[in-house]
Amino acid sequence: MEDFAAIIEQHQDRVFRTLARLTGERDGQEDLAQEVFLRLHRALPHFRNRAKVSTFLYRIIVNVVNDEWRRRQSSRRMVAIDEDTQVLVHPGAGPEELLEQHDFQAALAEAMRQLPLGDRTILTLHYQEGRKYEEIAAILDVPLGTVKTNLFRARERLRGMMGEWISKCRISR
Amino acid sequence: MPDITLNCADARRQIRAYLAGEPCPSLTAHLSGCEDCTQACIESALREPPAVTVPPRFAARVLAQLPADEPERSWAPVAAVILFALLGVILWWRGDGAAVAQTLLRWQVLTAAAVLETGVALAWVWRVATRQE
Repeated sequence: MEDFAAIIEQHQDRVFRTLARLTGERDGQEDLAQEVFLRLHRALPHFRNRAKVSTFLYRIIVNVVNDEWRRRQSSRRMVAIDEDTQVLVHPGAGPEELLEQHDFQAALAEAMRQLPLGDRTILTLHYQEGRKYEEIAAILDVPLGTVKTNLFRARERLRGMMGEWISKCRISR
Repeated sequence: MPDITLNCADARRQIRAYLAGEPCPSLTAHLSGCEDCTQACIESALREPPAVTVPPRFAARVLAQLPADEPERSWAPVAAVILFALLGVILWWRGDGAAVAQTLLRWQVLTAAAVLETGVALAWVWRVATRQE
């Protein structure tokens, strides 16, 4: 029990910030974070390689967010921007407001929320969490080539969205 | 074409201030024409984790939801019973009744140990059952 308390203390920041980026919500992550650690606790007896707890933890986080998305979708509390897009409902600023504020960070957060969950996941793991391609492949259980392809595609999409925002910003000045 | 009032090196130097919320009109102009610097700006922003606060006593709340520790299961009593049964079957198959009796006598200590261990196991089951109630 004490060991697990130490594991929670060690990884809780990582869990909360990753959940925040993946769900696009800064608040209300506690229930999801608790679910992450409860699943980790259930899985630990079968987990032999302690050196890769973080990899295992990221995999659980992604699964928990996916499950949450399905749960919200089934209860019609999740909005799909298009068929390939998965977005959690959020009370963030609208595009016009962000344009007026010229707030790049907020615009980026908004753009991330509009990306498909898979794109958001791979961008978060690579840039925010600093995971290498090999580790992302292990976390998502996909081949290395798929990671590279998906990361390239996600990067292109995000740059396209932000490029559009920057152009609008320039015009609005 | 990138804005000529700012080259890429200067633009990269302004990114941090820009992301911190400082108005940088020349950088915005540069970014609108330079994909590489836009990408650099996006990557810098993504590397900054969102400001989140872990609720106080979060770990304690998780620990409170964990199931009580289960003692490790011992397979020794089961193994002893299987061993005894197997031994009996082998000796019976050989058709040597005296050998069966003699061997069982030799192994009476093991029998006693198995019974004792079974008793301990039953006591553990009873303790867990009463604790859950």
